Amino acid sequence: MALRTEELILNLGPQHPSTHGVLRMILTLDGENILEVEPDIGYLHSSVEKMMEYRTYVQSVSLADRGMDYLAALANEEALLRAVETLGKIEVPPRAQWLRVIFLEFQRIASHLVWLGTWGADLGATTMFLWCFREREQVLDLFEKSTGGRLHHVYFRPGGVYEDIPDGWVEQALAFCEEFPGHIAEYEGLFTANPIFEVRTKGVGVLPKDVAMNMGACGPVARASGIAFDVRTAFPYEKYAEVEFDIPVQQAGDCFARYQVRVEEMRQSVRIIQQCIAKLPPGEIRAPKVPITLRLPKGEVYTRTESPRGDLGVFLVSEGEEHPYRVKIRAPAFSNLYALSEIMRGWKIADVIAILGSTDIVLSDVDR
Amino acid sequence: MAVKLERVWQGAQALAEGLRLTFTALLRPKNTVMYPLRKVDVSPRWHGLLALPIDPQTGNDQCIICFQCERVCPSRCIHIEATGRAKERVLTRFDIEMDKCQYCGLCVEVCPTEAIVFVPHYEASTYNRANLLYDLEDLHRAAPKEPIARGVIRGKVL
Amino acid sequence: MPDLPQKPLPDGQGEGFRVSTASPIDKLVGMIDVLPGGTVILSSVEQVLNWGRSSSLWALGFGLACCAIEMMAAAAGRFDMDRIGTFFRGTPRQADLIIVSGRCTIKMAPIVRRLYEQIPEPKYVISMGSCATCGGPFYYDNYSILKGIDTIIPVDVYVPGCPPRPEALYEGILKLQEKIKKEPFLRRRAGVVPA
Repeated sequence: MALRTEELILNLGPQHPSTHGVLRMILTLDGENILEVEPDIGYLHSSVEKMMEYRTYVQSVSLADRGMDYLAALANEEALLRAVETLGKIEVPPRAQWLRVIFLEFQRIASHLVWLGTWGADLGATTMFLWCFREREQVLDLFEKSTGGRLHHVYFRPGGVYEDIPDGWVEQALAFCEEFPGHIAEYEGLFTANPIFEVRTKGVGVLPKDVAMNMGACGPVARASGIAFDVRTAFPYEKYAEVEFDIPVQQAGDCFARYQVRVEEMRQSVRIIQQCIAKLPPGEIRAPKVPITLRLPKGEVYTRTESPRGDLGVFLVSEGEEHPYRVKIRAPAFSNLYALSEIMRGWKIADVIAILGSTDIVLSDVDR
Repeated sequence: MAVKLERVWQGAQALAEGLRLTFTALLRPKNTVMYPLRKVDVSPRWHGLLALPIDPQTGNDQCIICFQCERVCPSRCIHIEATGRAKERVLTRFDIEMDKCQYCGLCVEVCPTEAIVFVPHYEASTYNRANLLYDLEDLHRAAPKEPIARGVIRGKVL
Repeated sequence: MPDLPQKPLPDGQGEGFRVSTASPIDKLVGMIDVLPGGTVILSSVEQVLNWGRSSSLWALGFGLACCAIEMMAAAAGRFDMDRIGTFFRGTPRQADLIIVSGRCTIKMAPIVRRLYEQIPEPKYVISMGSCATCGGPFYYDNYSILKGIDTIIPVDVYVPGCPPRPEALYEGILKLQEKIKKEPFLRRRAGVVPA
């Protein structure tokens, strides 16, 4: 007599210690195997796109910090202001551009450190959580000294940055860049050769290159699947064309490859910061005559930037008023979440958290 | 069998490496801040609570009632009312809803007289939400005795 | 969800165990309370119990938005929340405290409410950040964010900030500890003192 079996539907989230934010996943299970994954989003929908239609451009910057990807607030400011500056034809002074690159790369390091720490905690490595947040605090100290905020900065303005960096900041940043690669080596010492970590990540959650392309995966997720695309080199903005750095690419497409790509990206960020600080010219930090109630000419524009999670685009329509007519944000985490249902099919339920963590989604970015 | 032994050897090596790192971390200086006893030196630029510092010479704040902060505030949490006309205008109400504030600093940026500033205080927890509505008196009290030199708008770098 | 017809509950089961007098401890408290000088005994016992309860507030590991990152930073090495006896549990059944960290959408509100109801009494709520307190930056022109978490669950301590520093969250927890230390815990439980 055959045992009667049936498919089981399991809700994972929205409150789960390891879902990054408030994601609900409806898993269809056959025993322990996953047949179907349906992410249910919208638990953090904060309607920033709508709110920006009622805010001036400078006010929208503070909303972009909070309403979009909160782990990389400066990357959101950059994405929004790239659109504003392109449409308004506002020239950013060179010093401000270099400063922006420095802060964007620090933001990338901070964001990846949160990812590595929380992913480590998900996989059972509490040490990684504590160590990553230890280094992140140093980055946040640098942010606090210059921008005044730890998580949300409101530092970039149309046509530059708000304040110049304080005295002694450069030395502190360089000291951090000096010691941080040593800390990355520590993380790798804990993770890369660890057999438990290898078993849980190597070969798990493979996203093939063609599927990644069809699903519109971007950022480190796509680069771990062999797609050598990075907006910073493909469509350079600010001063990215004038610094040398490599785009780490892995062919395997599994969780381990995504981990390797992000860790290597942190190394490259340090390299970019060191070059930027060496090239940092004196001068103006803000374009003159950009009013706080900025009016953009009539028109529309789409710009893209590379946030720590991938290709972050902003489509902005202006009707010639103080506030935008429409803002549409192309969120990288959303398309990576879309790829998630492809990645997870066929794996065991114990791998769900490892795979979900490796895609590094932020629900605020998904839902906006 | 050989493969298995190799895996065991690998595992032992990784374990030794992990333990080595953990024990070296034991010898490093601690970075825990014993918070209620010792506090972190907050940066002078920190977006803490808002305040209207009192000018020691005039004994009043420097607000000229231009309503710029009220207009620029993205969360619309500043409420100003005044009576009188032109130069004889008197501030009758200056409320900031600290629970609605997003500490972005746009009001500090637009203020022409640096009347409204950030103070590096952050401890303002309360049992009642109504306490988070700061009126003029609260805003005067929150300001430190010494004026905080932000001085950025004047071109000086802290 | 359609409104289900409310089944009348037997006496003493409506509002949880706050008014229930079934437990022998509660009966004992009720008996001591009427003795001359019984209040002195009870309040001394309560002081000891409250000291223990306030020094081991287990929080529910539950994050909503940006403030959750600062909550994690408070739990990590530099600010080390374990020092004051607060650490995160994965399930509401083991928690005493829920820190509502960040903005709560209308879609998420029933879940927050359910999590709160799943925490056993006595339970406490900290509203962390502007968004949880009243909607904060998302108060105006917004159709999806709840205007304050205190519209659905009772809040004990409000921590302002956007997001608050980890130290500010600390201060909120310390304030909550002060509040717990003053509570007539046993007498309230026995129904001698109104809840």
